[in-house]
Order: sequence, then structure tokens, then C-alpha cells
Amino acid sequence: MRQDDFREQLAQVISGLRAIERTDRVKLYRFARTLLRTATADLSAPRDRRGRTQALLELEAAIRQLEQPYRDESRPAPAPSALAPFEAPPAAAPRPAAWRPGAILGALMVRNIRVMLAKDPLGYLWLFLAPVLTIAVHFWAYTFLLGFGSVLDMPTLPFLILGIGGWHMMRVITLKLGHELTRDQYLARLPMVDTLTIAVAKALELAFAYTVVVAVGLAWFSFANGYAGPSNLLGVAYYWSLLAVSGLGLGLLLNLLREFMPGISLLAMPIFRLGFFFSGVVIVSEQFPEKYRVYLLWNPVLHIMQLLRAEYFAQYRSSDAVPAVAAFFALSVLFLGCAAEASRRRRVATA
Amino acid sequence: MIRLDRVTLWSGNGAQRRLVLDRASFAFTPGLWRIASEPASDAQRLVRFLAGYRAAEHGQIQSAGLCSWPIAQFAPLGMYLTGADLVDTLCALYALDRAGTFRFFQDMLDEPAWLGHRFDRWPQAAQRQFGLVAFLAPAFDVFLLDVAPVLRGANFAGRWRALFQERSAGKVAIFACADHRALGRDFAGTSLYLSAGALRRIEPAVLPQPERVAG
Repeated sequence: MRQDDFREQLAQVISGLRAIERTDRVKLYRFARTLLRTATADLSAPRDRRGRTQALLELEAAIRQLEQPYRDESRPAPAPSALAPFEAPPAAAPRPAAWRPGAILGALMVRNIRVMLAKDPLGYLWLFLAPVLTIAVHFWAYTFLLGFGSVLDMPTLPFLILGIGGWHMMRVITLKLGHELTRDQYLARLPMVDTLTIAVAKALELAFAYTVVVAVGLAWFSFANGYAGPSNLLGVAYYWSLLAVSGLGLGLLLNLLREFMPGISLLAMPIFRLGFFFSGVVIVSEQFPEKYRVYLLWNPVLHIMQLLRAEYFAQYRSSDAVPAVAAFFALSVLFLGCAAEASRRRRVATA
Repeated sequence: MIRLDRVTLWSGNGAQRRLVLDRASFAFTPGLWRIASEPASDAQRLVRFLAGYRAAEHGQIQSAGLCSWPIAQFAPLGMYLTGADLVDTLCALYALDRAGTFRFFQDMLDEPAWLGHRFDRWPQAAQRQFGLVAFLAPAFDVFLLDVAPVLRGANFAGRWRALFQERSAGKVAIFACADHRALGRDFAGTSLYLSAGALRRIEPAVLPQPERVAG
């Protein structure tokens, strides 16, 4: 069928259904577009891209022409002499300049969550399902396989929720940051946004989501078992944020390394798998024999993890972990990550 | 205003490496500037450089006020979001009034009903229109157009041109355009020619017409 015939037939169909609602017309137009796309995709051999685009543009023009009477009924078309009265959007109430970075971060976080829910809600669910399943497996192993009701006097379930929740948060931030920066790099074309803001927004979004899930899990346990809850909430928040900061720094470093060694992501996965057992996530250093403990203490994440537990559980005091090591590691990794991102950005800009 | 201070800018790599600006100093004062170049991509490169996409080898660039993204580089803020969500994000990023901005998009778009649908399901023409309307939503002080905007549909083209002229009045607007005469019919301004690493003012009539590809 020629394009003109197609257009005329469409016009006839729509004029025959004069009184149909706008939503129905939109569905009809969508159907016509799909039909035209399918027809031109199969018939063009060799493919005539320009002709196909032209046909689609002609159809759009025909649709606009058909819509004109409806438009005239609903609102007057602008006269040539009065084309300017379209009001530009007004600016919102002015906010202090110091709030702007926060507002941009907030906007990007909301946008990220919306995109993730719209694109792949099951993927988002899996982010939380993975730690829940890991907690369930380890809880089963501790309670039913090994017969432990507690770990060094700490109740098993909150011990695992805190450790595995924190570890997963750091791991997901590290591994996801590079992909997000690659996928959302076009956002950095907006003058208000840069790649570091995108990375921080993503890290904050993930940290926020994991914090809520872990807090709900711990609150439920405390409520159900009459447990007192965290002995020092401020300390818990501090070491929890050190884990998130470490994840952000490691993610930025990994992003730079990926440019030189594209396979580094594949290496990062087994490192995290191995680190799971030697970072105080499911076993604290005090449970290991004395001769191995000195080696374990070289892992700075173990220090953060054990200090986090020490702040949460009143009955546990870590004899191995040093607060200075935990803070130094998190801040150094953050500094190195920011430097890596700045260097990557400079190389991209001058390439 | 945008000021270039002894800026050196190269394009391409290896054997294709070419000097675009050679210690050039220039001030883009409020008004409309049209830049042509040989090859045409150099002018586009210059506009994208002004947007901060590239760093200069030497010299520096000073800009006052809020600078737009280059018009052809607008990528939607999320293909999976609805038009309304995109407007919402734009408002949050540029501190715009939400209700007013939404009304603005409804008035400007030929098919405002699409605002309620996911952006990846919009027809291409409507997606392009959205990008053009978004370009006029924030109150930019510097408008950067790395290509001449493709305005399809008489009504939309009229509305967009009128609003662009209104919004860019007293501001800096910089076009990179191959066809100065065609652009001159729509937008009056100063013509510049970028060649041999320097920017020179020139009359559009003396510029060569761009070659048309047959077919």
C-alpha cells in the first residue's frame, strides 16, 4: 500500500469515528504507527532508512492534521501575531545556595529510584532479596547445623542482619557504581550535574535503601523478642556510614581501573566472595585461633564490621578492632576514589 | 557572557589532529552569535567546548550565569520514566516551579497526552519536541546550539521560535551552523567564521553555501 493510500484510509477511519475520545484516538494512532513500522521494516530490501523515516514523519504530519479540529475545539490555535504569549515556567521560590547540591542529589536519587522501579522492579527486589536469603542460609547453618543460639553472646539473627546487611551494602555500592556511571554518563552533560554527583547520588540511594531494610529487620527482632536494641545508636550510625563511604571510594577506584583493565569487574566478584568470610561478616576475629588473628587484622573492613557490632551489642567488646584503622581506611579510600574520578574526568575531557 | 582567554583547542587524534583555536581571545557578549567553520564540525566542537565537555590545552574560559547544555546533546533524564516524571526531575534540578513548568510543557507540545506515557514509547518526533521544549524551560543565561534546531510542524515551530527569541533576549545565544543564510532568515545576529585557529566576524553573504547531498 502506498503511504498516501495508507494516510487516506486512516483519515477515513478516524473521520468515521468522529466522536471518539482522545485516549482512543491515541491508541488508534499508536496502532497505525506500529503497522507502518512493521510494513516498512519487512518490505524494504535493501533497507531504505531515509524512505522509512520519511514515511513515519508523513504519518505524524497526517496525525497532526487530523488532530487539528479537535485541538481547535479544545483551545484556540495561536495566531501568528500572538505566538509569544506562551508563558515560560516561573522559577520556584529561591532557596539558599548551600541547599543546591543537596537538592540536586535529592533529585537524582528520586530519579534513580523511579528509573529502577519502572525499568526492572524485580531487579530492585533482588537487591534486598539477596541479603535476606544469605541471612536465612547462615541463620540456618548457625542454628540448626552448628547448634549455636548466639555468637559470643550476641543473638544470632541480629548479628547476621547487621553483618550481612552492611557487607551487601558496601559490595553493591562498589560493584554498581561503575555501571551506573557508564549508563548515566549523559546526565553529566547537564551543566548542574557532574559524574561525582551521579556517583554520590547512587551510593546514597543504595545506602538509604539498605539502612531502611536493616533497621526494619532489627526493629522487628527487638519487638518480637523483647531485645533492648542498639547500645549506642550514634556509634552504629558512624560505623555504618564508614561502610557506605568505603563502598563509594572502592566503586570510584574500580571505575578508573576498569578503563585500563576491562576484566577487573570479574576479579572483583571472587574477591568480595572471599572477603565475605574474612571481614567479620559472619565470623568475628575473636572466633578464630590466635595464630590466624594477626593475619585477619590486616583486613580494615573487619575493623569496621567488628566495631559496628560492638556499638550495637552491649555484651560484645571487640578486643582486636581499632577505631583509627577503620576511620583511616574509609577516608583514604574515599580520597583515592575522588582523585581517581577527577583524573578519569580530566582524561575524558582532553581526549 | 562567555569570555575566551588565549584558548588553544585541538580536535581529533593522531594524523587527524587539527588545530581549532590557536590562543584565541574572544568575548561573547549578550546577543545572538552564529559560528560557521571549515570543516563544519569545528564550530560544533567549539560550542561543546563552551559547554564544558572538553578541556582546552591552554588558556581558560570564563562564563557568567547559567549555561545551557548544547541543544543536540540533550539526552532524556531516563528513557523509562514518564514525561511527567522527566518534567519533575528537570524542575528539581533547575529549581523550577513544578505546576508552571508542567503547564508550559502541556502548552508547547503538540501531543501533551504523551506526557503521561513512558518516554521510550513516545514517537521520535514527540521525543525531539520534548528535548526542544526542555531547552527553553530553565532560565539560562547562555544558550548553546551545536546544531540548528529541527522544528517540524508550523504551529510548534512558530511557538518555539517566538519563545526562544523572548527567552534569549538580552542573553548570549551561540549557534554552530553550516547554513548561515537559512539560519539568518529565522534568527538575526552576528556571524563568525572559524578558520586557521581564529574567530573572525564576517558577513553571511560571503560564506559559501553548504554542499547538498543528492538524494
